[in-house]
Amino acid sequence: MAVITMGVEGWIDDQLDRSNPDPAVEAQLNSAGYQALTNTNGQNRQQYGDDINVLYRQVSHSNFLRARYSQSQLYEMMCQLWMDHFNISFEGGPGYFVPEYQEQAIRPHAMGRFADLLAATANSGTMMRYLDNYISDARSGINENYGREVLELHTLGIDRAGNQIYGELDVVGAAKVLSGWSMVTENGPNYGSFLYRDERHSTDPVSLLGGQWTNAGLNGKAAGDSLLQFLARHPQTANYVCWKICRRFVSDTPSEQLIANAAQVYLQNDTAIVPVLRYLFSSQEFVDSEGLKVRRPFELMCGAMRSMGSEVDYGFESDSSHQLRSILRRLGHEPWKWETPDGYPDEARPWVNSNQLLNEWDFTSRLARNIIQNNNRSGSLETDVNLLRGSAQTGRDLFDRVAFQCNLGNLPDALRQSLLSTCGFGDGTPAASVTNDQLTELCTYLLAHPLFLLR
Amino acid sequence: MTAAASPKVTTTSRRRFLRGAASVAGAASAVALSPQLAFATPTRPAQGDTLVVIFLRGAADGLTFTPPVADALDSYRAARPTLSMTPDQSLPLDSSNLNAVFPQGLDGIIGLHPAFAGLHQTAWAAGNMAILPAIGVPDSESRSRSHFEAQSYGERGTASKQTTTGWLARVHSALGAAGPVAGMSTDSNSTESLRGSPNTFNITNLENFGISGFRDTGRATNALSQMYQGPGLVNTAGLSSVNVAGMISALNVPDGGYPDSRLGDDLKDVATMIRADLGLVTATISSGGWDHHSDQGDPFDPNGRILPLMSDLGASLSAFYDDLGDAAMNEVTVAVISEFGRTFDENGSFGTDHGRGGTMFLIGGGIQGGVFGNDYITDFGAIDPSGPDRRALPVLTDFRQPLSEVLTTRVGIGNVFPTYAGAPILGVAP
Repeated sequence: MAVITMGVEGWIDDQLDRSNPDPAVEAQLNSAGYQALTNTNGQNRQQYGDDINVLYRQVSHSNFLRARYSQSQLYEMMCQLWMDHFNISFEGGPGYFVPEYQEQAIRPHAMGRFADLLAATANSGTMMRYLDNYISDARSGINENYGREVLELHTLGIDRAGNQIYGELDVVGAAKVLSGWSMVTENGPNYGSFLYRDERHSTDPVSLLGGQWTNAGLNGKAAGDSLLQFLARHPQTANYVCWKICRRFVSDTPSEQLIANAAQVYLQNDTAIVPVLRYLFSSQEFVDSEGLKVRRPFELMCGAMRSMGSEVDYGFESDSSHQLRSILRRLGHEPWKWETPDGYPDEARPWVNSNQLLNEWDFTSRLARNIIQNNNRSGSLETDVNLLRGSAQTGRDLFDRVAFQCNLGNLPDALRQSLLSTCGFGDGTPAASVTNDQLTELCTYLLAHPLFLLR
Repeated sequence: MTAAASPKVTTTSRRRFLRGAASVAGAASAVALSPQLAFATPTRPAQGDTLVVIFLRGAADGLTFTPPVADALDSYRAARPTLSMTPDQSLPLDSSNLNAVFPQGLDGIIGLHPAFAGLHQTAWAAGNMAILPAIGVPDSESRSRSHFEAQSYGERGTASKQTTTGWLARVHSALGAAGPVAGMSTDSNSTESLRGSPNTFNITNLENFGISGFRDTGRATNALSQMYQGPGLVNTAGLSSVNVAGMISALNVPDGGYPDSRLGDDLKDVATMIRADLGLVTATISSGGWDHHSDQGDPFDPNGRILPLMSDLGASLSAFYDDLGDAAMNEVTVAVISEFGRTFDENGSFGTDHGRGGTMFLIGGGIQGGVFGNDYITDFGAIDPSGPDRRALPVLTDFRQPLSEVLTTRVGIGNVFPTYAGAPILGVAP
């Protein structure tokens, strides 16, 4: 664990410098044939239009692999955050619109500038299709869907108290300004690429937020570009976006002061994301926040695999890929499977319930027992808990090593003794006489400990 | 389940006792009965109807569920060149045989889409289905056309952010519901309407519900019980999951003639839990995908987006009604709601945008059949295109008005909606 050698601050500094994907993991994906991730929408439609599940296996398994193996952990977490913030859905339309969006709109800007990220999502045929803007036409009647969500979910937002600074006529105005933002609908390699269609663009005068922005003097696509630049730098957007970031890394209810300070950093740095993160990680509120966030199922699964040193096969047709995907489906957290544009919830309550806990315990137990496999498929998910033995001399040492791997801190003596007794050994049992089954059983319990659900 | 029109429940029952009590008190939302006194029976915990809430997420187009057939017909047809239907295409909602009194005068103004033909032949014909058009969150609380805000209002039962619990959770509190499984959600994620209630479980697949994966389930149960002692959300949910897992995993889920769909499966699981008699007070189910900004399809287009969803909803509800049968449906009320309706005019994409008033269904043995509401509109064209009701059917009935009546007479509790002041009785649950 790099954090041990670098210290926490050193590790954070290192992670803040890694604002790009881990090249080693990307190279492995490339050689494992993840063609869908480098294709355009049109190419994916041609190649996978009839075999959309093959495409999705590439999307899903690439997310698992990056989370499991990437040295750029913070970068990958930011990718997940923006995937929710700018959600599109595999279920809501043709699935071949997903990979290009993930790879070209979200990931290149995950630790860049929010203004660029917003523009990349808006200049994406995928987003224009998902929120119906590609058919919005001033001549036959504009479509309000994207205009509404770009204000409500992507930029200004509705604050924690339920206040919003825009009204219904601002929604209509934004939809007019962005009308004509569309995509190529002709068959071929360019299908699904962004296309601005001036003949569909509304030229009605628009004044938003009581005159804070107008389209006076702006023509065609430039009006929409200007609007997005304005929105990205609006103080309300700064506050809303920084709330999302604080909620991700600190707690479900970060203080308003922390959010306001982060928003200042955001505005002072022209919407750059890394300075906001640097400020956040230096705050006392962040330091005090350990254990305040519940791991969502994807994070819990990847965390368990990292804790156990489980090896995931890179093949998207491997047994690993099939098994992990079907488990995450039961937990309701597969990448890009949230249907509505608000993205997966990022707070504890939606994720702490009987369905989640029973399925999570089932997964982590079977992971530790190394029984997540279908013998008819190759490339299974492999876990060997013996790797955790290290230099342990006693039963107590083994317990401490597993608890450390699971980041559980110091658990009470009584609980330790009871769990060891349930597994059939004790503090003083020589480690060499603790069987594989006994050690495995201990791992199943510690992975099911309530603290493992938290981060 | 017979299709014949029949009088409402006539056998002597705790229902009858309750109705008597409610009518003596004479107010919809201010009756505080002792649930223990009213409901305690040897075979069933102290509770009234099981409430089953189906939330249609995305804002279902109420005008396709219940299209105008009379006064508003012409303006409706004009506003929807491709997405409307003619009166002869909908099922008549003639309530003259339902022994209903309609002080609101809403009889004969709307029809029912034939996707609900099964229910029309059973629940409607038996006088067990109330239909409420132009319903939603009232203007006085919020005109929000945000899905996420309006769904939250619908689930907390108020637009006030001061109230953080769900309205179904408050039903549990008011009843002192102490059954092992007072509430269930068929969602993977916890449902906001049940927020704040202990003894509430998410059961996405009843047949797979239980503790599994460990080397020895008995030893694991002991270990988990030990680890999940203590306060807080995670500990509480963990311990209660352990406690109830054995009880629920023993249940047999019969096939029961439901559609092969997520909604069909969910309703089948709820029916099984109701039959298991574990004290289920509320169940909530989500049905997604109703946000039809484009390609909504004309109401009979099998390639459109709304018809398959509506057909699944109709068939699933019909299967549930038939599966439980008359006796069980006398102790169940189903509410089908959505966060708001859609624009009465279609947009340029063969779809509809976010509106205000939608349509609600209430189904159950204790429900008075008929079309209910405070008012309806006679001419959509008269709605100011730049006013607050822009392009939308207004909200003319507060969604809490019929729900309060159900809670009073069918569940036996008072008002659980903190910002709802009450309103004249509609008569959906006399």
